[in-house]
Amino acid sequence: MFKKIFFIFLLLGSLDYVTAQEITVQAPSQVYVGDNFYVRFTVNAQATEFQGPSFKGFSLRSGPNTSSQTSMSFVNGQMSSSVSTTFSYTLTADVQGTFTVGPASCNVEGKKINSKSFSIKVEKLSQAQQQQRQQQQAQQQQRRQTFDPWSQQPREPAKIDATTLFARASVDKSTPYQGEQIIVTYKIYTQVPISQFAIDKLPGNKGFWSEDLSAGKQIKQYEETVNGRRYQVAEIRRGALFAQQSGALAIEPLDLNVLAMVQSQRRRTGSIWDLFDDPFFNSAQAVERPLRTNRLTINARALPTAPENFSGAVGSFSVKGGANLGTVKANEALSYRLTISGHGNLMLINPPTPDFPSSFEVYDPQIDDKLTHGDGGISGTRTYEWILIPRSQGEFTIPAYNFVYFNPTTAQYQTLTIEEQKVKVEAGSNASTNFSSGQEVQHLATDIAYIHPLNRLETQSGSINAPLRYVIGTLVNLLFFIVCYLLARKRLADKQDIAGVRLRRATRLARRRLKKAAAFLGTGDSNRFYEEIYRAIWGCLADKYNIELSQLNRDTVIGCLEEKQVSDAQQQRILKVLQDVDMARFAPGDASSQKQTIYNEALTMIAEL
Amino acid sequence: MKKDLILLLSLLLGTMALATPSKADCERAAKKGDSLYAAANYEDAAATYENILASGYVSADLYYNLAGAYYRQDRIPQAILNYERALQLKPGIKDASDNLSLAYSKTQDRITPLPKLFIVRWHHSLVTKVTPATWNVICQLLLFLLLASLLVMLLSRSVSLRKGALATLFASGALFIVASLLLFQSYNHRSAHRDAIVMQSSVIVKASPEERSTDKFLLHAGTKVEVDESLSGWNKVILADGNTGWLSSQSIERI
Repeated sequence: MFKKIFFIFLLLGSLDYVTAQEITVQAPSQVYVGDNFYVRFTVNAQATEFQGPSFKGFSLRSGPNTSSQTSMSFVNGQMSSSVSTTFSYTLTADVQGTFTVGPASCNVEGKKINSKSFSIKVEKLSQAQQQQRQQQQAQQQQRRQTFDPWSQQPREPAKIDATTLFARASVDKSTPYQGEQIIVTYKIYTQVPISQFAIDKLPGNKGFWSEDLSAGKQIKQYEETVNGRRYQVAEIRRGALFAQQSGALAIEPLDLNVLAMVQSQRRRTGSIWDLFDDPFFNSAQAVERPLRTNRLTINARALPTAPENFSGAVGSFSVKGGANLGTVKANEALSYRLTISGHGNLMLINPPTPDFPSSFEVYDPQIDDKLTHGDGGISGTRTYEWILIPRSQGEFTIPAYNFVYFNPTTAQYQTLTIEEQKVKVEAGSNASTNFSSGQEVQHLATDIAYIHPLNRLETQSGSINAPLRYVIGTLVNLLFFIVCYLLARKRLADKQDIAGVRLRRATRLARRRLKKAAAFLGTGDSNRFYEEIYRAIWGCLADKYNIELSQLNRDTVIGCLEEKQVSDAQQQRILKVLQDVDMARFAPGDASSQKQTIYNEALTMIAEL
Repeated sequence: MKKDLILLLSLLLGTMALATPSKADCERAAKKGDSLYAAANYEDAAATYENILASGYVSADLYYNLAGAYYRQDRIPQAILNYERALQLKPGIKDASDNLSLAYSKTQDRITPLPKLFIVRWHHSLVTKVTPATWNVICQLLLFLLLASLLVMLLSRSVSLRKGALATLFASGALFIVASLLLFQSYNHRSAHRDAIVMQSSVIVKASPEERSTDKFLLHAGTKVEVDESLSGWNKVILADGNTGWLSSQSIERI
């Protein structure tokens, strides 16, 4: 009987225990913004129809996750067992403040029980603390990225659907200007661990110039709340796009394949093996899921009417540059630099064309790009460098260069100017002049030459009397010739006449001399007599035969006589007279009779000649 | 007697008519034309130059300036015509020949000249590019040389001098004859005005001098043609490529 009563007591006791069923709450009283924490509701019985509270002010990451526990104990041969059910939530504190969490309720053996409501204080971390936290988180995330099965990750729901795993594309501007830089970001949102992903197809974006900003960079991971749910976000690709035309342009979706790790959950069998139903032993199963981002539409605005020298640059820029030397020798190089730095479509700028003086030999510019593919897009510098060789000396001016670009923030064209620069070119060395090969004159443009000043007007008829002129010219020539000829003939004739005159007066002169000699014969001056006879004979011969006095001698006289074909007898007589005169002059003998014969001989000879 | 009087009278009147605008007046007008040209008033400049030409005075420079004024007005055929006239008067104006080739480059017709034997080409350029006046000078010099050597031949007693003179005589005599022939050819070429420029923007060259005859080819303004013969308002033209045909006289202007 007692035994029975004890049993009943025991039973009652146990009943009493059962009647003390309640929901106990396990929750931190204070958390920091951004913290993840658990809230557990434990019922020490088999509970059904659990209704969780609304966690206002927090974001729900997962839950309620149900787990039940059965414990059996044998004490002194007696067995006692207890059952408890736990409903757990994982929450994230989003904002600062104190939040009250309402009661949770459940059904235990047909009886409804409620938990007490409680409050959680959310505080903000100081800057230093935050940094520390972030570091810790980063470390944690890095560990997670390796998908360590031992990582302290809360258990995720087994199911994979569009709410737990999806991919999205987003842009920072939906109505950019044509040529303006926009950033497109592709992200995977997930609540399940992912072991790896592969991009199937890169979008070929028509109408855009695109540059990859994420090449060679670590994939960024962070958490983000979408529709009240907390997701792990992996930023898988980031690109800069420059609309090349205006109007509606589509950004194609990105296809990718994701390998998600799914926790395989065994159904509780109630067997002893349930003991091993521990996360430690749970095997993760990789499930391949194809994902596709959303299609985006961009409405590119056309640029306003561009000024003439618009460079095509859209963004925010600054320029600097100029020639490296102010004074240079002819045929020596100098360089002219133009550096455009800023944020925007640097690689799409039209090559600038400064107006260099035409006597400068200009080589094609070297382009040096230093571009940074940052998260904010493409920025950096582009440098153009021209090598200039002045070919002639003098003072030259490289005119100011205007760089015109479009600033999308002010929606206006802006002009940056590189000031004009004077370059003094001094005479170069000759050696380098030889080096420069001859250059053809550059024909800048072809145009007619300028008018000529009028120097002389002619009458119409005056210009066409060529035959008349010809005739006149010929006549003048002929007349001149005739005159010349006649004059020449006359002179020749005159020259011949001199001999004639001499011939004519020869006898006369000779007679006069003989008369003189006759007078001397009378006076008896034999020397003077012979002298006169001598001069008379020789002078007569010289005049007759036109012989110069200097050439007058016996031999020339004989030559002349032979030429004139004088008869031998006559020649003999002439020579005899000459001989007699010479003899009588230089060897005077008897005077008067000899003188008389010589006189007579001379007289007859002259008469004969 | 009466005939002679009329002739004399008409001659007198003719000279008076020519003398009405004096040479000085015309030179002043030419200066005015130059300043109009400088002020880019090409139409008035051209009109001024044309007036001087109409009053009977000519000058290569005047034609040259007139052509420039027409060129500036984009009246290319007129420009070509006057450049050609300037060059005919004075073939040595380099600016004129440069401008002329520039003007020709603006015309539509591209005619490939027939390839000719070098001697023919030389002869042609000697006839067209050298004025009768220049030939006259050359002729007179040769004649002088000829007569001088004849003089030496007649008067000199030295045998070697006379031999040299004989050679010179033959050479200069032959050259004199050639130069005289060229002079008259050059004169005939100029006085016959064989070359002409197409003035209408486009003309159809006919196969025979009749309106209803078949069309041979199409010529555009500024093309140079050679007029072979004329027949009642029609001209038989020869193109540089050897094609021939008949054109009405109104469509061309003789150089």
